[in-house]
Amino acid sequence: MKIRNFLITLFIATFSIPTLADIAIVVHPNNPLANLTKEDAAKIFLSKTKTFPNGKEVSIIDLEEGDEIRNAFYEKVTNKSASQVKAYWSRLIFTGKGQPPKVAIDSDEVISAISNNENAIGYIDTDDINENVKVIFKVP
Amino acid sequence: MNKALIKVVPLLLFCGAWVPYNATAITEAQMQADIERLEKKLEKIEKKSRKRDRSIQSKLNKYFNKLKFNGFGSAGLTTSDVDAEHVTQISNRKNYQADAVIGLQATFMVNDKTDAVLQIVGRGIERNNAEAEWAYISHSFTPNFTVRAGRLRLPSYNISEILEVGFAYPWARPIPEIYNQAPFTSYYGVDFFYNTNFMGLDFQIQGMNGTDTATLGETTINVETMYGLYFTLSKGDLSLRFGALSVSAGMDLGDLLTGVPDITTIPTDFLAQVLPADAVALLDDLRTNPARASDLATFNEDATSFGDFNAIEVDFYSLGLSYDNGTWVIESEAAELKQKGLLQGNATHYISLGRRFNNWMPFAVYAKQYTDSDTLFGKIVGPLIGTIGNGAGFDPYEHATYTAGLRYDIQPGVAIKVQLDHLTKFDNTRGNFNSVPGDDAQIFSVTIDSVF
Repeated sequence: MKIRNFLITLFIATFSIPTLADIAIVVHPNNPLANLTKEDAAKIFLSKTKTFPNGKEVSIIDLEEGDEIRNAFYEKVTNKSASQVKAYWSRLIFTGKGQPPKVAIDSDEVISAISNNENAIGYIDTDDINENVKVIFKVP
Repeated sequence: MNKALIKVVPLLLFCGAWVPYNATAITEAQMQADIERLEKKLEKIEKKSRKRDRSIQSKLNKYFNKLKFNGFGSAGLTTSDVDAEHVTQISNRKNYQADAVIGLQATFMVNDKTDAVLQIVGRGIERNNAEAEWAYISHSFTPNFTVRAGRLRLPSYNISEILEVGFAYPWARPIPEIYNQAPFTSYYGVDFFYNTNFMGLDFQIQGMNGTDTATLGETTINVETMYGLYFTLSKGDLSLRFGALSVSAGMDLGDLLTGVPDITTIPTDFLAQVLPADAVALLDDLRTNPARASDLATFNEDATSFGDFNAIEVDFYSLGLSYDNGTWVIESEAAELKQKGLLQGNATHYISLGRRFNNWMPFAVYAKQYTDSDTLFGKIVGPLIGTIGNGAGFDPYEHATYTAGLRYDIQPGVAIKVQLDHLTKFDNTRGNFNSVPGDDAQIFSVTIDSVF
């Protein structure tokens, strides 16, 4: 009996896949942008596209370097590892053609930054979504 | 009499006993009031001081939020196996300087459209003058149109503006065939860049105009004017860049030309003592063969005017391709340097292929460079004059470089590279060394690059 329980636990433990956070890109509820393709999302967060379709300048809210959600976000949306994202931004910074986005510590800060700025865009764990933000893209 | 006194004394005593008590009470109440008044005053002062602190704090915060610092640094050890000095100043002495660099950039956001930027770079080798690499004001009239003025970097080729940010490119150093062609890397002037999207393609135009002073060995070059225009088209993982830069400069050749005689007057057999055999044969043919009379006239003209040589007019044309899909990294450029004058023009191209395996990226590069405006003057007299620093010279040269290397990203912001270059196919010319290195040359480097 004991051994059977032990084996079942072992079995479950071996085959449990840890669930990774689901991430969504969010904007202010008044932002006319309704949805985004992965390519457009990548262009916005890499500052290749600087304005929304309505012409307003995008204000990107990023998470801190080293944050698991940040790493997963860039891997899935832009195909770049943390090192590659750093290399990409250093090209822009040191050619004077861009500054990396503002940084937030956690979802709360992201949501608060977005609530204060209709042109802000950020990404958060789907568990933290509330009525202060609108989801426009779910990271696959 | 005594009876009266006896009645009065206790009364006196009684009154007397009261007196000190009342005096204390009055003083205490007064003290209490005073204390309360002082406490209120203190509170007011504290409040004011706190308010002032907060306002200073918020002003400081405002300024600190507006001021951003970024930096980059590289260190490395490199050496070659030949005496001749490479255009990057690498030779067979162990060299810790060729790749040593530290850069600091401060960006002050004057307002949300205007930045003031200062970048100071310290280098192990002196490229030209060790000054601020750039210091400029930039203003974005729209999110897609920016104008900058001040001291800026020349955007001649793909990575010209980030020449020293080793972390941002795969190799130990920017491909020397392309990036060491000219001593100019910065200028004083203005530039603009404009981004747009057209038929699904991202498009950037960058234009510049400026002047500079550069040093080539002992020679000072005063660039009177340079202007350039560059176009970059990108879609997804691929980007294509092409453009041109035109430079007009005066040169102070210093001591370079002292002692170079007017060789039109010197007999061939005399020159045979100092010139290589094929140059002597060429000169002999020019002077003795009547069919080459006009060539001889051109040669003599160049030789005599060489004493007054002090002007450079060069056009730099470039074409570049970049592809990065996360796994495969392809970089390729082709450039043409056209001189109007006695200095050699050249053509150069490279192709680099890298593949990422997590944080590892092995890469291989093939590069080729050769002169393509051979003048008779250059062929005959060129090797005698040698180079005027930085590999620029009057003689024909060619070579090819095969490179293999490995880059490892230790952590985001730090990368180590190991690289071996095999330079060959010199065809008895000096290639991109300052003298003929032999049949082949190897350059080995280990570098560490970071951004912070």
